[in-house]
Amino acid sequence: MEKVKILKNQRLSERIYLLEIAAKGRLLEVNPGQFVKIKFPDFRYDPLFPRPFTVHSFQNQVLKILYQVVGKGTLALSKLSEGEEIFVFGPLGKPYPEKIDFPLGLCAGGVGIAGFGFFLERLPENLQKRIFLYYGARTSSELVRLDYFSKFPIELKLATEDGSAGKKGYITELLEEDLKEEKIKILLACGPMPMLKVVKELSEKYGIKAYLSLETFMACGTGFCKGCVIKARKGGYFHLCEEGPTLLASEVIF
Amino acid sequence: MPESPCVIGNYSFRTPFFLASGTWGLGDTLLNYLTPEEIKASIGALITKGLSLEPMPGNPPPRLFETPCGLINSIGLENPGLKAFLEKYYPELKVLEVPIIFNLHGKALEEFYEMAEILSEIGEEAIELNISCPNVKEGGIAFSQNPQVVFELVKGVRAVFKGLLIVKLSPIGPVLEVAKKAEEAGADALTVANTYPALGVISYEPLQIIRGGLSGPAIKPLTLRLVFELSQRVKIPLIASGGIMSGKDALDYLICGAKAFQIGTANLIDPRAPIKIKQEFEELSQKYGRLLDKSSS
Ligand SMILES: Cc1cc2nc3c(=O)[nH]c(=O)nc-3n(C[C@H](O)[C@H](O)[C@H](O)COP(=O)(O)OP(=O)(O)OC[C@H]3O[C@@H](n4cnc5c(N)ncnc54)[C@H](O)[C@@H]3O)c2cc1C
Ligand SMILES: Cc1cc2nc3c(=O)[nH]c(=O)nc-3n(C[C@H](O)[C@H](O)[C@H](O)COP(=O)(O)O)c2cc1C
Ligand code: FES
Repeated sequence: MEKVKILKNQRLSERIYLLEIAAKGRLLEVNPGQFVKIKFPDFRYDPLFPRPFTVHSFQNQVLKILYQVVGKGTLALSKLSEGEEIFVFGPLGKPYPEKIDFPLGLCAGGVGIAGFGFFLERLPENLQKRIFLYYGARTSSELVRLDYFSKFPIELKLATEDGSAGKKGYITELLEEDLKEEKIKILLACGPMPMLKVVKELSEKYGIKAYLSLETFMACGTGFCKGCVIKARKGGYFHLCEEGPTLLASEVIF
Repeated sequence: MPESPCVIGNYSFRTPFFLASGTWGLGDTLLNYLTPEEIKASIGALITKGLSLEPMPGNPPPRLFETPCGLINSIGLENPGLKAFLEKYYPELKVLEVPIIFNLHGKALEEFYEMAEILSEIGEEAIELNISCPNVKEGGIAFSQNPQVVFELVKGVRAVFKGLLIVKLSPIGPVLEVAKKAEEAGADALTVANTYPALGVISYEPLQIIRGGLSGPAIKPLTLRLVFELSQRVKIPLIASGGIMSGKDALDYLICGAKAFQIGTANLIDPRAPIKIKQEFEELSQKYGRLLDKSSS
């Protein structure tokens, strides 16, 4: 576990924050798609477990986490400020799959967008140009980091449930329009379970491969507890922290 | 206190800190986080995940539920089975030259005997009988409710296995009677204790309850009491397991009569916990060593 200083912990919307830390030690080896777990200083064992977060961006040794406050751990994290110390452990999990076809559709719901930043940062420009990024949220204020994502030469498509930005409705509706027109060859999706369910259905309907970054509660993140399971189509289970968090949609049942 | 090896039965361990069953996976990822030298220096024994005669797929999700200062787990003894473990995972662990204790789970007495025989035949030297898993339908904690069955079990295993025989108690049920019967039947040591049967309500969609075993700092005072009570009633060594997160926790258990300490949930939080805990323990025992010596004489 690396003890690191917080460089910045900035509020981007009502519930979404951007944390910046100076990476060191093993953290420097992180690859897109991997995650870290964060332990907050002295909380008297409550919350007991460090929380997992995808690496959102990693440039010039500055590692960024894009997170949403949903419970006591993330609330505690949001209260920390510049200069304070946290413990960060990682990298954990498997990176995004290496062999990936283009044009590639990235589908994000809410803070599910996090990992795609780092993914794009590491992608050569000629391939960035062959990316469609579908990014949906409830309302416009939750579509965060638009300035950052707009800098990549990608096609960015937005949707909000209330219609305050982009298309009104679910992001998967935009995705389906393009799938119909055979614009993309393969999908990589991250977001809430209901969205991932739809992406899985769409990938089956249009016969394309889809990778999903899934979530479960994790105690260890290191393969020690065997608690983070997702049902495997072939029988048995995947351990999300070891074999995931990104898995082929066709291989999982949820 | 000088660094002396930890002696249990006829066996001597380099340190009194053991890795608890089920809290370091099957061992295949351990070396990602600790070097062989660190393992050797800080860990006295590695206690395997609960192994059964046949492979077990484990329970469907959700398997984990965090409580204030605790964890409820319902893994359901997911494991590849004893034979597959010996073939696939064991060779890598053996080269570490740290004693390995096989944690065994049987649905019936005969299954325990069969596994003990397999281990005996290949010259294995240590077993921990898991009669206390709260997360399986057959076997597990059910054994712990009946002291006479425990007697029969331990006697049966003893007959085919000459090595170190540890019985891992459940913290609930007729614990004192079970402990006495295990001792009488020839157990060399007792692990006190497994997790506490508990329940968590997952209050988001879909609403679910999870029944499992509670571990972590939340259970420490309870298990500490058990260790204390048992230390007054049995002569065989006690190995503490329950919420050991720091050197101070281990020292508390030592004061209450434990000879060795298992690190469980703490590993899940930080795989380097054993190093830290051992170090803290040694510093503390140096500080309080004289006090401790006085009180034990
Ligand atoms: C590999 C991985 C990567 C992740 N990356 C990110 C990231 O980049 N950014 C980010 O913001 N989050 C990410 N998460 C999620 C993040 O880890 C959790 O939001 C965090 O652990 C919540 O901790 P907490 O203590 O704040 O909330 P808790 O107190 O643990 O509870 C969270 C709240 O949500 C509810 N809840 C818990 N689980 C679920 C569920 N499955 N479905 C619905 N409700 C639930 C609880 O009841 C509670 O109200 C990731 C998770 C994983 C497994
Ligand atoms: C995820 C998990 C899996 C466990 N698996 C087993 C097991 O297979 N066999 C067993 O005897 N005990 C098992 N245990 C119990 C631990 O070995 C230990 O006795 C218990 O967790 C109490 O110690 P702790 O509070 O330090 O974790 C498991 C515990 C946890 C948290
Ligand atoms: S969270 Fe423990 S094995 Fe994945």
